[in-house]
Amino acid sequence: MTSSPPTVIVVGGGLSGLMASLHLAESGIAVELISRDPPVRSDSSALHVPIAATVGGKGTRQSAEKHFLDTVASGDFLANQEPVRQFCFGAPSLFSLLQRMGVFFNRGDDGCLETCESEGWHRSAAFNGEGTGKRILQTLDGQIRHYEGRGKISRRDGWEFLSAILDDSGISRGIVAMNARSMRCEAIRSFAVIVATGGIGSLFGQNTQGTRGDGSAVSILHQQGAPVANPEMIQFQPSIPLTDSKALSIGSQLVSLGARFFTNRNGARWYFFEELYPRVSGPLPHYVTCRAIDRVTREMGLGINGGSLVCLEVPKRLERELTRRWGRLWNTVREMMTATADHWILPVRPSVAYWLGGLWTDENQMTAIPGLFAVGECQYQFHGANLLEGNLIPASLFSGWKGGEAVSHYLSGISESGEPPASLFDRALQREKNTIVGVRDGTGKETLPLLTRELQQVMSAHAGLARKNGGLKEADEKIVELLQRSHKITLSDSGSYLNNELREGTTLRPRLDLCRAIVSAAFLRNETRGCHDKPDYPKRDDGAYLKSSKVYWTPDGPRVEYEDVNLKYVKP
Amino acid sequence: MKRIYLKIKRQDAPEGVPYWEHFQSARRPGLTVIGLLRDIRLSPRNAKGEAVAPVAWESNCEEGACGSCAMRINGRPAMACHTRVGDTRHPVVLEPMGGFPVLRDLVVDRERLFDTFRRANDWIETGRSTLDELPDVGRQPVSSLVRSLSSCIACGLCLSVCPQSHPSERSNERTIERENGFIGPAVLARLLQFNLISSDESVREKRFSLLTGPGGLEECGHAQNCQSACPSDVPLLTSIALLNREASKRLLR
Repeated sequence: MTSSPPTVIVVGGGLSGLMASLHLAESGIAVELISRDPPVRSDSSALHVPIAATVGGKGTRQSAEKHFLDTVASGDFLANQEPVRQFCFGAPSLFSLLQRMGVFFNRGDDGCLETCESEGWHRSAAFNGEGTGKRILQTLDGQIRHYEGRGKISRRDGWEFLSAILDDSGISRGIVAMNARSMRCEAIRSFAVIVATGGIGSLFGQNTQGTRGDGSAVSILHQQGAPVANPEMIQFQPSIPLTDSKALSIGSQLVSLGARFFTNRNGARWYFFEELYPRVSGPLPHYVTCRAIDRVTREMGLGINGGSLVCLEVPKRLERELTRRWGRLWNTVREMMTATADHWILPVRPSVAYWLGGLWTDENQMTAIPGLFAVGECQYQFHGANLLEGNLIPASLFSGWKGGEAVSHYLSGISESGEPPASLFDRALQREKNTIVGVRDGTGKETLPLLTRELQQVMSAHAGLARKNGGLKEADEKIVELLQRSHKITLSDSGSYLNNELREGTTLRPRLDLCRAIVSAAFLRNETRGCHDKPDYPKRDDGAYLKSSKVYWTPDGPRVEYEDVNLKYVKP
Repeated sequence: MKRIYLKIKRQDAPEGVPYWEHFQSARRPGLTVIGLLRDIRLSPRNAKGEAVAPVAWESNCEEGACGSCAMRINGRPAMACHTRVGDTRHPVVLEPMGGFPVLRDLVVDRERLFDTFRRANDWIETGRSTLDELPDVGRQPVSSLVRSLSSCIACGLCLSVCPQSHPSERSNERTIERENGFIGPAVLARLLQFNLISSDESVREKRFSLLTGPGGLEECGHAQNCQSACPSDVPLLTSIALLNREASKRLLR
């Protein structure tokens, strides 16, 4: 740990947080990197998506332009266009930077990038086996160690963000965090904070990302005055369920290699997807696929055994390609398969894969809280109403890099207004200590894991695909009930060391609050746009809703406003 | 309805005394060890029906990519997310993996692994990460060796079964003599990976001096436990052989 206060705190050690930390450290700015887990264990490690690679000397500018148009259109015009443009024009250099750091991508013998077709992106998408995210994460993790060795970055693995410390003018002055081993809290000062806490998959239960991402840091900041934007935009992907909490998001990649969706109807295989979309070749956007699966299972009741699963028929001739491309991951998938003579059959269902919304930021990644920035999946720029999967990794990286740059400018511009009084930090620290004592000493008949499970069930039932206003209202009422019941929890764990239940207990109310924000924004957006699916309002309504939802926290519940989208370059 | 019986080696804190606790839980199709731990956590009671604190463990991705859930299952090093309860011996015996200080229950402190990666300079110095550089066109494909070396997920299982890497298990000391302890198979592989892809001679020499210094290659006892423990098929034995050869060549210069 650094002995003098760090200049910048970065919360979250995934791709975007590491990139931001790196950029700052290279600029000579001291960074304190706070992370729940060591960076290589973050959700970014399980990313199998390829990277939209607009590389190549000739025509780079032209293909960046096409990349920009594809991204804006894919987001159903909900993304602010200036950040998207900067991202698309910065992406080729980002790709080059990764390789200079030692990340390699699959290449043929001639040195040319091997590319694959990727959902919604019919051009080149580069990849690194099945572990594109993992390789980049490992590389960035090593880069961070370089700067740790030079005293520029100090890492605190195993710390939980509890709150931002804001002075009387509402300016960010640091954070309070808890060492999740000793359970000791600390007020950490800084001149700026970057939040890079990733997605919200675990709010829904089974998801493709991991069990750690729950949006609780975003929600805490939401309560402290940073609105969240487009929280209702959540991407589902056709995924292979591995366990109760985990599904593998490789359904679309299998389809682009020749796998076919089917379910059973009248004793025979019904290739429903081909019937619904007869003239399509190549991978369709995930929300189209997921909607088709949802209609077939939920509306028609034709899921396998009447449930929510359909099947993916994978030709056995793909074995060599899949083993080559995915290695060990393919072995994991094999365990889930049943075999016929020529095919493997895999169960598939739509599963939460990415959060397109997040903390509202200006075009320089600063939230509504001065000095507090947000990068990566936890902020709302770039993807609008739908993510192009080839953009997931580069946008997170670009966002982190850009956030680092924006913080550098911010730091050079702040006045020498002197140190805030120690009492500011003492009060913030005491507040969090009191909250923790409250969670620790709670009594009542409720338990934390069961309340969490009820929340996951209500979100999956009503806030996923095929949203109905009646269901969303019911979900909101349920969440309010859970909020009341959350005051009556008795913990099973009274330990004072590495008490995960206590740590998770501090995130419960933030999780519930964030779910209310999601549900409220979904309720009020009466249209279907990108991933937001409302069968009662099946069309996109640009007249009323070509706007970002901007949700504010109030003690009486979320307040939703709307903000015009920056349509600087291209109109729908 | 068949029940699953488990025995878990618990410890309340780093300085605590280990003890065994027995559990039982319902069998469910496709259940992994992580799923089993999660089921127990819903209402944590031991096999005698007494309410106990939930077992502490680490997991995240549940697909073998993040390296969190390394532990000892029925005496063998394993990733809990990959271990289906149906495929294991019963009762299922869970212990924290060996070779690292226990923090609580199945959670150990693996910081020393990352510290040692740092000593191996596991990065390439690139100067400023500017985005003004013109993109490169076409590079050499990497060798399959580099590709395999890069699949390490820093789980620590190789170190946990390496007889040369264990700190003293008699004391709960966490101040292991890190400077002179064996750096271990994962770090050797990482060192080779970076020496293969980086061309900066001075840094390669630095890595090499870690290899040939105290705690380096000469500590390897050739038990070969590491390779069978690795869940990602990192070519650990090949790395050690290649590094041995390189070290000998330099010695004879």
